[in-house]
Amino acid sequence: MEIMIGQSAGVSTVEPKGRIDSLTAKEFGDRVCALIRSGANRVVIDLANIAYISSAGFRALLIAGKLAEESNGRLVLCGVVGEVQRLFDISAFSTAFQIYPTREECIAKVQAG
Amino acid sequence: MVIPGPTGAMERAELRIANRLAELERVRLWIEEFAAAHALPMPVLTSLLVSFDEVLTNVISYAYADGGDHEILLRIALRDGAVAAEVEDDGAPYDPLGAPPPDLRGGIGERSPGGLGIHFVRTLNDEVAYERRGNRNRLSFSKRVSAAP
Repeated sequence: MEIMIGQSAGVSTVEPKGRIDSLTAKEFGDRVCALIRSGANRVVIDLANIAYISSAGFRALLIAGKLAEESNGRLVLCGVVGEVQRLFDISAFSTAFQIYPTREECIAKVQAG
Repeated sequence: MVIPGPTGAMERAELRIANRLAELERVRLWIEEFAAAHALPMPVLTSLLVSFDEVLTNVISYAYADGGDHEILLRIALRDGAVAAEVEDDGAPYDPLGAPPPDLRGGIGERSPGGLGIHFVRTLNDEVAYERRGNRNRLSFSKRVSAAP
């Protein structure tokens, strides 16, 4: 899978492409956790280019989310639409995570927090 | 293996894989080929991709205590307006439908990821069934293709 990691005004952005399934979840989770451990405490994950997420992917997101909380950081999501939105709703992660419609709103929220 | 139906389109497809996670890439391409051949709508394709991912990950990770090589049989069929899928393995007897439902309440700090895979299989499909026959587990799941009236 392709994972683009960027910086915007003190906020780290993570943009995975493809799918977060049993084959790719570990790589995705390891990258996000490494980013948080390296000191990034404001992280936006943009899922707009993800076709679907399986339970392995939600496990990786959950581990990253817990790590961010333990590090007193913020981890928020955007791009949760279509099939990905449906999977977030089924797993009830749409209420557990902080999700905003656009990347700009995410950045504004974590900068304010 | 692709079995042509009366119209020439493949009505049924079968795939045999080894009990290795790396095989899941081949499974994904096989599902996508079937979905494209039948112009299956996106929600049906997603359901198939996620369901096979969940079921096969469980089987490959937990069904084989011997650490040896095994073959897993996968089937998809289109019949009576529904997509019916099956996973058959010769691993230890295990009914995933007997597992308790996951606790979906709480925020990130409280949530545990356990049980989510089979929860997806149950929720994404209209019917899910487990059967132990001889020395084989068979998990079948099906989903209507057309929206319910």
